[in-house]
Amino acid sequence: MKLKRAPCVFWLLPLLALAACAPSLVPTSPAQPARLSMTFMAGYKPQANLPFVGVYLAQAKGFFEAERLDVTVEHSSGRGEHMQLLTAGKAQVTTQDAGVLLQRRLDPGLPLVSIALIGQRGQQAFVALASSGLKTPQDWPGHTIGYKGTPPPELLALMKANGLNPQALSLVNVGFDPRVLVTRQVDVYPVYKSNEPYLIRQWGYDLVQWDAADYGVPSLGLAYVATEEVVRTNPELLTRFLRASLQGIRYAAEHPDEAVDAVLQYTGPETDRNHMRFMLEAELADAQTDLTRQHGLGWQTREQWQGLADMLVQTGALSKADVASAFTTRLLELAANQARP
Amino acid sequence: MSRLDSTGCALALLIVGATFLGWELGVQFFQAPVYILPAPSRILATLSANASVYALATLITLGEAVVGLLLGILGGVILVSLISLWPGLEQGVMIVAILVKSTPLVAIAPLLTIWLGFGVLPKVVLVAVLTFFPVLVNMLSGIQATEPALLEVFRSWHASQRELFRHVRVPYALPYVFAALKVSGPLALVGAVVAEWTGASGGLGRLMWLAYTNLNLPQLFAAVFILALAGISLYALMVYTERRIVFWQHR
Amino acid sequence: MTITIEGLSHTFTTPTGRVPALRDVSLQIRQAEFVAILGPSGCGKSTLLRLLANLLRPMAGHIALDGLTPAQAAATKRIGWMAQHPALLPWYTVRDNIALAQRINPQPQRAVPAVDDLLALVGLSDFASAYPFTLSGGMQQRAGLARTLALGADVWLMDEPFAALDELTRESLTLELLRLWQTFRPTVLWVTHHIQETVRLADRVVVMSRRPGHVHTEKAIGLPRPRDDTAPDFQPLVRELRVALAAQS
Repeated sequence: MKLKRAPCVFWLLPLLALAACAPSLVPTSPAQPARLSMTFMAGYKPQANLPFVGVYLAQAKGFFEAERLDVTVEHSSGRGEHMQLLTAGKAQVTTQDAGVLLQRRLDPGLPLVSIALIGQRGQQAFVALASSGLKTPQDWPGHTIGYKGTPPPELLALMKANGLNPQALSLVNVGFDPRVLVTRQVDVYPVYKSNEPYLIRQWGYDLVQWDAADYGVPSLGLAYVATEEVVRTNPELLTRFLRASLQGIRYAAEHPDEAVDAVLQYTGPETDRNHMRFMLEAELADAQTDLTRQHGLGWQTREQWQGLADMLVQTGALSKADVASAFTTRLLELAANQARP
Repeated sequence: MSRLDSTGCALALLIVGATFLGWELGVQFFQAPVYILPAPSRILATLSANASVYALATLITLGEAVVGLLLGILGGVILVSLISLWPGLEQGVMIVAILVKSTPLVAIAPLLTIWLGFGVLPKVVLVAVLTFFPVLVNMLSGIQATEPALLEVFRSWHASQRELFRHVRVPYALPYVFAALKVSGPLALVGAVVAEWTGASGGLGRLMWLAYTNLNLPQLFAAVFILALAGISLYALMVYTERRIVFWQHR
Repeated sequence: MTITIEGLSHTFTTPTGRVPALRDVSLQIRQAEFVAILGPSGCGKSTLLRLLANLLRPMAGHIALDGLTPAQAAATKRIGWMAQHPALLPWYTVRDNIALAQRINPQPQRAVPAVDDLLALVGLSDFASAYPFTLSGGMQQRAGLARTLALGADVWLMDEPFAALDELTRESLTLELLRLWQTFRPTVLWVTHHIQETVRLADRVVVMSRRPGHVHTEKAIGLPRPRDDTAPDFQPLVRELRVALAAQS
């Protein structure tokens, strides 16, 4: 055994020596920027949320590599630890729902900044089984409405828009478990448009869906988030990150099949490909608006954030609407201006 | 003895088999949807279809559990040694130990990630924190329960505390330690899974969490089956080791 | 080692009250003297040995072992005490139990009996590698005896060491024990309730009274060694001691 292996080792030696010499033979360009490395922590499990997909593809298609950026991809369990880890400096970019970002900035005062708003419309919606006979939110009184953890501001805003008194409805905390809808423990269940409706339809149920945005409730989706400190001290890193992951998102829009393949590299076994495709399509649709067609993906304005903040204040989810430093377009501009060929 | 064991084994298999059969038939009879309760056959099919994924996850989780358990045992033994050499430390050590012990796992798991990073280290530490307490408490009671007659012999020899500890107190406490390990072994698995559940890049806990968020119950139960099997194996390993090491207890 | 005991008293405090065990015990024991202590159950014989071995503190009175207090004497590692129950370590073999006693009680200045010789003496050569729990009660007691003898102590404080032995084993062990005693010349305090045994072994027999124990009679045994149970002077001594003991029972 040992004797047989020895020749291989001898073959390896010159190869190793060659490999050691190799870098010195390649001319180094003085213009080449330094390599940077960072950790991206997705705000939830691996799935086809658009900001995740952008990163998965940037990694898979070499967009990060082209930016000379080494990115470690981590996933949060969605209990908020990604924001903790971001502020602790263990990750440089994470993703977060715009509304929750505003809440966490005020309480407990996390220095979070949206550097690109990918979800131009929020994913919060409410569904009931088609067989329940509920047609509009006006039909809700007398029925049980579920929520996850805390009632989403969109729910309160939606009720307000429909002139419903929250006291007249029975609200119950059900956590993430759409099964309570099909077993009829609740009549209305809050969903992410891009996620649970697919699951429930898959089980063979027809749904009625109410999208908060359809009732004039301002809502925003997922943003790429960094801390104020990293935005201030390392714009170069974030600019490279944005350039590559926005390119990833554009790539996903053009090659959705390939994008789903990239997602499946991260998800567990037996992930439903069609479910991921459904999620991707839904979020792609909500990422592209007149605004982004004019300014580019991820663009965000004072009006958008102010509208969301005002809604949150009105529903009591936020004590004051101060959005000036909750987002920045500077890095998006840098990414657009310094586009590499 | 061995004959008794084999009948016991056969009976256990029979009970487990009957449970599974009842479960399978129940699911078929009531036509339970798979997202409410999957049939064992469906779970086993998932398991075999993804055997390599589960094997890798099991390896990761078992590794974390075993290393964490060893660390926990070491921690418990060191604390007990300190207490028995300097009895004045007992109250202080116990208060801190209870403090650590009563902190809910879900509260410290994310903190450990913040302190120790994304790798396996926070999982191992969590398992150690979870498992050291039974070892500490049981071994301490074992040490303190040492048979007075043995202590008298050593006192009549004017033996040192070290000699007493090494030749009498520790061997006397070993059966108590094993009693603790039979609790801590399966607990170590739970600890590793909980730690992975709150964010990990591998392991059964992560598989379970993914399965749960996708409401993929066959996948969830497949992991539960593996955990149950691993728990039983760890327990059996403890019993076997106990019989080898604490041989004088099984006369 | 000479032992002086003066006015020794001891009382145990139990949940149900105070139990006096010894009252005003005084004894003088010469260097290398073999003293047997005979008394009814519960007369404080074991307590007396425990006080000498520094396992209990006397409440009144005075003990001197070669002029040292029991605590000082214990620190010199010259005390060999054997309890009624042998208390062997179950996790060590018979040989390791005996060897451990020598390791913890090293006697750099003196020769001590070799472990294998002691095993042969108590008839356990074939059981050297056995664990104590595989032995009968009598065998365990013999192992315990060997362990105490292995210490090479200056004083043997023996609490009924032959209690669990059959008569034949007693007789053969008696001879061996006396041979060892004559070689190493320790002072011996031998607690027993077996009258015959005291006459076989001792230079002097101390008969203790019922609880609280104190010295009732002392009887010197002047018989030449080796002693013979069937010798004409033997049985009268046994009878005399039986009468003294019976008065206390």
